[in-house]
Amino acid sequence: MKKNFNNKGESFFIFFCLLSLIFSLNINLFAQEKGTLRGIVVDSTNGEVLPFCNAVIENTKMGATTNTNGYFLIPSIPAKKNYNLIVSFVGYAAKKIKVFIAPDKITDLEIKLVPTNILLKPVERVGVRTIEKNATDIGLQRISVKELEMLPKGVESDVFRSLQYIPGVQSTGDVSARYYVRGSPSNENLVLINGATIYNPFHALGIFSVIDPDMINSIEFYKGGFPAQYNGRLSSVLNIITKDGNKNNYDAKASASFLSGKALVEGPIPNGSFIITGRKSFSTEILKKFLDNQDVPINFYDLSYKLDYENPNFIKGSKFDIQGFSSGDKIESTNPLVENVNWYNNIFGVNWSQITDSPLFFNMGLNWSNFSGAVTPNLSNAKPKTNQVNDLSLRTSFTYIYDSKDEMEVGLNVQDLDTKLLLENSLGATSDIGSHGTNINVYALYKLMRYDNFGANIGTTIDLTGLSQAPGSAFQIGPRLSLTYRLIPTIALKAAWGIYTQQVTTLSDENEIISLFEPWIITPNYLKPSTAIHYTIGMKTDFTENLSLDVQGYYKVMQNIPTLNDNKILDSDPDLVPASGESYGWEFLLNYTGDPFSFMGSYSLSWTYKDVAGWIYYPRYDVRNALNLILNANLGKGWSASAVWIFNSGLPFTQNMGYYNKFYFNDLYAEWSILEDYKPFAILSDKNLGRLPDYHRLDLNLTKKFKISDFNFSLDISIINVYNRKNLFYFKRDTGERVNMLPFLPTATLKVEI
Amino acid sequence: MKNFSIFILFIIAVEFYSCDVALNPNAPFRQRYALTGIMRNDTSVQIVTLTKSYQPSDGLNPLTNTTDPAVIGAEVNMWYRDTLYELRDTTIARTDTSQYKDSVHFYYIKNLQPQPGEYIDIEALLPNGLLLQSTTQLPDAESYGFFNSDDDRTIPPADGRNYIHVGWQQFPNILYQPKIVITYYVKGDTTKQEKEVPLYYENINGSSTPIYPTQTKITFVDIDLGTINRALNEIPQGNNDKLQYTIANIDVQMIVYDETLTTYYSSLQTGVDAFTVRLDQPDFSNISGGYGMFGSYVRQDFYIKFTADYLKALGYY
Repeated sequence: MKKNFNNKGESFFIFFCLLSLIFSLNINLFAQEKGTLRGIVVDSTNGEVLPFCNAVIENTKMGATTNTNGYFLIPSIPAKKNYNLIVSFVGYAAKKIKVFIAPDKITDLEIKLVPTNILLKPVERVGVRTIEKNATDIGLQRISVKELEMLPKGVESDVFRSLQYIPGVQSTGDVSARYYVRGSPSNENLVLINGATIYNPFHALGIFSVIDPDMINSIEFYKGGFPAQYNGRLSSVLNIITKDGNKNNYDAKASASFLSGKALVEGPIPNGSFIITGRKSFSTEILKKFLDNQDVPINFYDLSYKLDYENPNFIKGSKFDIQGFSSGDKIESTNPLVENVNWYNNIFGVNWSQITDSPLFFNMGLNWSNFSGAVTPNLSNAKPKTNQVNDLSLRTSFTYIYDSKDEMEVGLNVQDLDTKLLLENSLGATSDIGSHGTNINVYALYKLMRYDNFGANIGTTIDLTGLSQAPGSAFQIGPRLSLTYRLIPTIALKAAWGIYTQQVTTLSDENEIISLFEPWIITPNYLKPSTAIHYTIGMKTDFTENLSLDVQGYYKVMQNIPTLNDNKILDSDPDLVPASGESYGWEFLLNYTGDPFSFMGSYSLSWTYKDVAGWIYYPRYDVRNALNLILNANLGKGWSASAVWIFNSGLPFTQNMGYYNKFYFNDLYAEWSILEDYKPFAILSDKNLGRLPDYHRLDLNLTKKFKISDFNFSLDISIINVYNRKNLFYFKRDTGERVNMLPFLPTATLKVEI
Repeated sequence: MKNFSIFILFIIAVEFYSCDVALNPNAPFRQRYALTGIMRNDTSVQIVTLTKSYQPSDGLNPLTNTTDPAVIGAEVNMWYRDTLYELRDTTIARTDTSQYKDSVHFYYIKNLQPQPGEYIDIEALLPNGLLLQSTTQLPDAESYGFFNSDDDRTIPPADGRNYIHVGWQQFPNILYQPKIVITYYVKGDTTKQEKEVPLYYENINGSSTPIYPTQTKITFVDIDLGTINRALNEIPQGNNDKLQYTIANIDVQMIVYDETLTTYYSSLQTGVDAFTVRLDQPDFSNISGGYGMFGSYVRQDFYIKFTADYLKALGYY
């Protein structure tokens, strides 16, 4: 399984440079006058930009999709003519606009789309068809807020749990929102909020994510084969763009579930807008359902704010955002024999987006992300642990769109990372295994979009310096290639390949199924940087405008994955040992969007192996078969309903080969301790060779939107595990007691909007 | 309404899957054996136990097994300073009979008192012919020089401090288990009594709770005189006539674990915190051919005298 990644990377780098040079020579053989159309698409009610909208010029093949800033750009339009531009998006009424294209100029437009839910008629599903037929988007899943709202909320609406409906994304049960993508551990997933990395995006022992769905504008999720602008993780990228705030009116929302209350305030400011959202837990009673009736005194909050400033008199075409995010979790027991636990995330950043008189986009973001966590033992047997992560990152990118529709993007990312981890082991010895590093990374990618039926995204990243001081950490080259070929109008063949590296890790114990403390550290110097190669192929079939089937196959090899050393005996033994792994599988995603029903069915068949010191086993997140069926129904008059059925074949677990009576002593002064202080201890069979029973569950959701006076209400009633399936979580080895996952659980959320 | 009916039909369709599945968490059983013994320098009686593995009677809960897993009839030999010691087997009445009713079976030798730094080898030949083997080396913690020369030797300390300090020799990868006791006699009785002194008191749920020393790598203890006074005052236990008691001294007892015992003890400390759930616990063994542990410890004592004035002020003179 050993590959020479670096040689491949270097060859690819030279190939990439030559190819970019050839394609960037835009020789215009025909002297026809042409113009460019650039537009920003926003929601008419609040001015919020709308990413992933389709913009197409009627009766032509020309069109584009808006980016995460809401912009689209259509180059090389024959000039001095009037055209009809049609802009459409899920949940919005399509809009047709007359536009005159001037020669050798960029014609700018602002298009306001009206949400269908304020048109007093059933939601009209429009604009879901792909306009960019040659888009190199294998492995990419775009999720709009509208789509997120349609999914069952459960106890608390959660982005991470929604990801688990996507084929290739696995969970290990109801108790955790952690997700595992195509056979990789969860610490190989990059989570970005407006470009800033969030290190511990979980509340309440991992049961929920810290990201309040109400603050989200759009989500891009790459489950593999991600392009060169993303770096630093092996498995996936979740890129969350938050809302800018209502640019037209002041607005306030409040909602309450069985777990938390939250509020949102937004409104216009001179040349901009603001938004503040906050969430606070007020009851932990429902968490007992998740945690085997254990009373865990969890207290959490999260707060997000953003200030948007766009003043053409300051810098024309500029957009500045100041963003902040803060979350905290505390577990503080009144019993001093139980430890206190707290962890916090803080993000503060400034982002600058710039459009110019040429088809050039510029983005720069300076973000500080901090994570701190501590387990304070009080008088318990737990040992004190603290983790501090300070990440200061600068991200810049320049995107130029050629007349041929090809795009060139170059960028520079600088990350200064400081991690501190103080641990006390069971012998009372303390250790500091934190470190400091700076990663300077440059990347370039070229999107070949000039051919209607063929698209390519070819790029590479280069780490000029590494976060880790280990040999080989610097000058890591990560080439990426993504191809799309539209065989016939309804069928596109896709493929992607890439080499990925990661130089941070968590000290995660695979033997823990509920984990309280997963500290982040820069990969220690005694380990080489982790590396993965992704190979993906796929076929997207658009049977009709509303029905599509996406089939993808993948193969992934991983090397030098830091894994907790189960055989650490002495203080001097390493905390982490390198592991390798491979995963492969097939994924199917069937989508039907209609009225009044829409349906999504996903199935994945996958295999994952991990190799630690020659021992090969299935990691705990190896799910052979996973099926998700989602049915949404728009029942009219403000009523909507959804049903989700989830099926996963059994997770791996380690079986017992019997028990022996093990000497458990605490006080050797007790004279006859050696004769009677014994407890049963499980003799384990080969790791993870057993399989738990299959998991399945049905969730239902009913939502009613109504208005009383000036208040808009939304009442959401959900039932988790409708047929009360007793999905096995684990057996307690010392008593044989069975612990199940979530039982039948009705919940409700009420939202009020002013 | 039609739409709603279709929706309900879909739900009913998937309900057919609503059945529970039982799971047997056990792989095929394989017989294994465990040897456990801790060699000590503070006695000439050394004890070893031999047990075999078992399956839970109900297939799940190991506590449902009521058949004593002791191995009887093994030949257990030890070698110390090139001398063979043959262990004998015997039984003793069990104090906790909630799971096993039979007496406790064990192997012992009466005339072996190993010294610090010495090796002991053990071999147990089981009735089925299987051989379990191991070795231990007692910590090289000789009594001379183990405790620091500048430790306090009287209470109160000569320099007027309000605490006593006792430090000891540091070994790498070694755990210490200190215990501080006040030794005393009741008038008319020559039996030495002990009153354990805590490190400090902690307020737990409104009550002052003594916190005693536990296994540690730290090589000293500091004890507040107030804590010692409180322990001294608790000795009469309601008998106000303190003159009935003769206070001897403070005995700082020390058990020094060998590396095996240290590692074994740390492997038992798997309770990372109250909320984490860990399924697969690590196991440590230095027994060749089986499970269990063959370790050793050395016991040392350090005595601190009370001054007469100090005891008199507390009513013991």
